[in-house]
Amino acid sequence: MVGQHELHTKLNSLLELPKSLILVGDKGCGKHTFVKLIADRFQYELIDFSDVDKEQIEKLYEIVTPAIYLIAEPNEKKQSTLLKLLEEPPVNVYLIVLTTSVNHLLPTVVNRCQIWSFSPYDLFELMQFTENKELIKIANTPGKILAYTDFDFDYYISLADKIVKHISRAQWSNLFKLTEVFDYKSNAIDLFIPLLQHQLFSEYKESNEEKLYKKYFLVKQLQNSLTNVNNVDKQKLFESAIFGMKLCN
Amino acid sequence: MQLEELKSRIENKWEITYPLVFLSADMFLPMQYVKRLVLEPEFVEEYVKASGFFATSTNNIKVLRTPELNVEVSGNYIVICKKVEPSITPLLNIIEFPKLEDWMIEDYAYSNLEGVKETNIAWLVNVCKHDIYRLEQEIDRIKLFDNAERNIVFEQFRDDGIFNDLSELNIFTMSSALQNKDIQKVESVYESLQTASSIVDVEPLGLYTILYNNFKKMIKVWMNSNPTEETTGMPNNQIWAIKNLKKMYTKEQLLKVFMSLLKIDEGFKSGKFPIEILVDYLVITCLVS
Repeated sequence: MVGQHELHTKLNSLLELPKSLILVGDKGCGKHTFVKLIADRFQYELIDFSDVDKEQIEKLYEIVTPAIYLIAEPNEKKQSTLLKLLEEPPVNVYLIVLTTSVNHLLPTVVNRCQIWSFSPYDLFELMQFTENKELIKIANTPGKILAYTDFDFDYYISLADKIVKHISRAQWSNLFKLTEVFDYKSNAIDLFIPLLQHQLFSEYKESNEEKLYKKYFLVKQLQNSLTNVNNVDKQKLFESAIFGMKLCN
Repeated sequence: MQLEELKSRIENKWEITYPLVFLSADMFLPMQYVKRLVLEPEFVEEYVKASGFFATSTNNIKVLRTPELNVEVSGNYIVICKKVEPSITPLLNIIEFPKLEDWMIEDYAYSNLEGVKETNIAWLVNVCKHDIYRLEQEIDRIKLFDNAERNIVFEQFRDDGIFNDLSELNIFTMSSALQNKDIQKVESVYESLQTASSIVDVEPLGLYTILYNNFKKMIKVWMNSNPTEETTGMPNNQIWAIKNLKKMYTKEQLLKVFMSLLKIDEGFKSGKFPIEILVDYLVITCLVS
């Protein structure tokens, strides 16, 4: 695992694993990789606890072999289910919660756990995953960089640039040619939106034009919806942003 | 050849000599046999929707449809027609299909709805007014489920008004009324929706999808200085049809409606927008643009 020296030092100095631990870090920073290191360090089995329910929690009080129970980005309902586990931890159970932000967790959960945070990666560390410095401006974690492996980066950067510079001149009907480029069943749009956001922000910094900031804000809202709304229709979201951007003129 | 012999040849996988001429007043029974003989079912469905005389090719068997056959046919053809000219009759292998009687339609329903109570099947056949095509559609909905679940699902569908006999008032009536800003028609469908005893098939998400697709097509054509197959991604006949629609929306209104439609999906998936008010919202969005 590249970087994260502080976390490694913490892990190596532990005599005993905390009963409940929250790992906080941006998407792709290596949370799952680090959990495997924890499991190896203590020789504990690692169990995916994503589908936790009350019945499963009751059974945990009977287990005899120590194990790590991992749950990633639990919703509020799942967090409420975990409360008993946190208040009366079973002897052989070690709970690790992964999240991109402690703000996504209930205060009652946060207060009962140790929190370990991932540090931002520096340029040198990220260059071990790619030589593309443009990509590093957009993808700030190893996981995010690796997601762009099979992505035609140069083509999409050029597309983002065209959108930023020429959308005001495009015919309304031609906007669909932009939105129909993507296969929405794949993750192409999820990888493209950060590029577009980056291009808009770069242009805004250079020109300081208000309409560019409005466009940037539209795309940022799009990014939030893609991340936070389950099963959202990505094509309609993107069309909404593109049409909104044209209206900004 | 008689129909029974054809059925036997299909079931036993014996050789069949082409061309075959299916003489029938309607398409339903002949198409059941075509589906067994021709190996590309999706293609066959398209063929059924078209009318007139044209040749198609699949697995080396060509399926032709014509009101009256008056030319000799040779080769791997199945011809479906209502009449054959007497002079060519001796030269052809004609299979006469019986007219669909009510008892045959009922038999079709019973044999395809295993698991559903007989009283329920009889009710469905009546609601569909013995219309075989309508019945086939409703039966296909139930056949998606296992035999053990079918009766429960059937009764749920019945209670929710999903089987309906008000075929005049449905999702397409509402969507075209909105697109044409036909306020009277919208009011009429809307009033029916409010009546508890009415059974109107206006499924909100289906209506939303139709409106989204159609407004998108209108933008692609009306707001394009040169709408072609290449520039719109639409076939020419569709472009022509949309060009000739009465323009009930200005360009600004079209954009406003379309952008409102785009926000709906995220709205109800994020919980901001309850689906119960979707039809109301769509009506207001289109009419008050």
